[in-house]
Amino acid sequence: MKNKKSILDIILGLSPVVGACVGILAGALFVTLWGVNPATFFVELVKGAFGNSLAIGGTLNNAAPLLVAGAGTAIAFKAGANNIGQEGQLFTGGLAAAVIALMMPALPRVVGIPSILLLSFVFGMIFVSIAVFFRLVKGVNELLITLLLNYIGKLFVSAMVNGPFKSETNVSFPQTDTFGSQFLLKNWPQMGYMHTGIFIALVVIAVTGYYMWCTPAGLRIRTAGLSPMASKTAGNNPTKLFILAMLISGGLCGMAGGIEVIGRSDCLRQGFGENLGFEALAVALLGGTNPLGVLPAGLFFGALKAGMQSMQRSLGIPSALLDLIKGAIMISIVVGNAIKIHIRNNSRKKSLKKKQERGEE
Amino acid sequence: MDMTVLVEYLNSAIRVSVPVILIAVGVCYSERAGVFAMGSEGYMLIAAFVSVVTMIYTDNHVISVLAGILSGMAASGIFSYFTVVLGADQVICGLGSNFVMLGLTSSLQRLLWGVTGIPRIPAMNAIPIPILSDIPFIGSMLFNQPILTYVTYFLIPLVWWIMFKSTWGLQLRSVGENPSCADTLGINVVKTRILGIVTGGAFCGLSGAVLSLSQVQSFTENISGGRGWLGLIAATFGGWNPAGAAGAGLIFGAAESLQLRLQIMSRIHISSYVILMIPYLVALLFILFIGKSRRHPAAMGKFYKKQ
Repeated sequence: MKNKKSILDIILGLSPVVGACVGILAGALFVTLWGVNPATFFVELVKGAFGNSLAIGGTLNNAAPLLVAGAGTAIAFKAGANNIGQEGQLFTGGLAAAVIALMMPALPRVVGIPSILLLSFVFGMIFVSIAVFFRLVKGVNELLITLLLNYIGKLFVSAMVNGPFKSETNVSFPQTDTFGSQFLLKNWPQMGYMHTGIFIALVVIAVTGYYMWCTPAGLRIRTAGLSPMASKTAGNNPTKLFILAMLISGGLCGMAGGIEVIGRSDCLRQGFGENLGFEALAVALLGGTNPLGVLPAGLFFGALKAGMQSMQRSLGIPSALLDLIKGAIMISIVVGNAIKIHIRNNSRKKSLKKKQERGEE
Repeated sequence: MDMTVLVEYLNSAIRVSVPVILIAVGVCYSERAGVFAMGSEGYMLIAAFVSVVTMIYTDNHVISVLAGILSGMAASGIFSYFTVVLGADQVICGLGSNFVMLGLTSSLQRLLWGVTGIPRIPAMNAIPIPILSDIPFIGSMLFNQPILTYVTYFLIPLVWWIMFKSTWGLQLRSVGENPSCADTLGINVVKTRILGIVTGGAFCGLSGAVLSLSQVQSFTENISGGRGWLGLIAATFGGWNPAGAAGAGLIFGAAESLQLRLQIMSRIHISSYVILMIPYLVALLFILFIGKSRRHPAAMGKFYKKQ
């Protein structure tokens, strides 16, 4: 009996994998409208993501900001805080890179990059604290505020790169002046300009994983999300935990923005992190809102993105299809979770019934 | 300020606010029934797309508007099955459906019309109402509008009446406040919630049709551009009361119209991106002032399962 249940648990635990499969299948079915064979779709997807060293570099570059922001999102969700303002936090975090690189161009490399990462973390934290303020003082659900802040953050960065930070040498595209090379992450052109962001991301994943699973603070955050009542009874301050989780989450999303700016380009461009925010949200869900689960989820999404980008070039399939796949993944994961709870409850009921019958005998 | 300029501005403010008002009203129906209306942006998108495509093929405004409404209802119907029947997380499911709709409409648009984009469709001109439009000031402000604006005038009192004075409205509100209590009184919670969501979807559909047929006169990628979220906030402000939500929607519309005007005026030197922020900043300011006094339906966002 016990064995059987654990097998059921394993199958049910795979719901993120099922979600990912449903998403890709939806994409594969959809491309038939372009007269593309679903089999070709899969082949091209894998080729675009892992086909050669350039493709692998692209996949890892895509994954780096998603891993960092995904880990941040996962922490908020674990605490039961609804941070869906990743996009806004990411953009303001990117702004931090420009602030450091353009205002303090004399900084040496050893100080420059860490201070960019730190300041982008702080910018993300400051930006998310607006939502925290509204929640605590005004009692408004953080969902709406973080969503609104997405638009405000994006437009704020656009206003900056078109205004005070606008480059005087390059006027063709709204962007800042080029940063000094000591502020940019090292990259390898032969690996598709793969940059060191992926290593930073791995460190972030390890640290957040350790924090959530091996420290008392992580336990408190997880308890607050699982059972707010139990957490309160145990003497935890729910408000404090909410603030903590939101700030870490916003900070990591901001840092993802910083990494994206100094990793992928040499200046701050308008719309640099478009779509990254909600992709990070999908990654967090796909990773079961667990920083460690975010690792495979982020790599998967990075690969998916790289594959779709290459398919746009080779087969002419619009990259907007990625939105459809992303949405399908999100929906199928939460629907899968709901069905999972349903099945668990049913099996619990059944075993309870059996026990009662036995008791009567 | 010149009087005619003011009247012209208010006229356009009303016209521009119609989609936001309609979404806000739709959100009221869904959230009064206890379900987050996170997918409204997506319903609006699919409806805008479907109504433009129908318009191109049938060249009939009535059929196109109806097609838009139906597509909004269908999309929200699927969403309601996932959230109300299966009990999936409403926020994520709503966000996910927004992305599905965004991906679907953008890629279908590329497939059908390539990079040239959808052809422009004939405009729905403003129709002045004979006697009423002659009233000074108010006349040219309120009664010189496209036909769908008049439909909206008519709908707002109607939906207010349905929500607060009809039996079904009472049932709807009760399943959003206390579903188990409603259940013991013999109200079918699942059915009522689905109806609430689909009604909301119909309004989002109408809103999308207004946006694409009467305002943009075409379909562009992500045409809704955050109006769904503004509608969500307008509903919060209006205390989930259709009349109040419409009022809040009007203010957002006024902000949006102001933004359009400021962009045209070259005399004022403000970054256009700051101007684009105006509707969202107005929304934030609103929440800052009214926030705490609005209590959301008690069971909003909670899945109800019959015991």
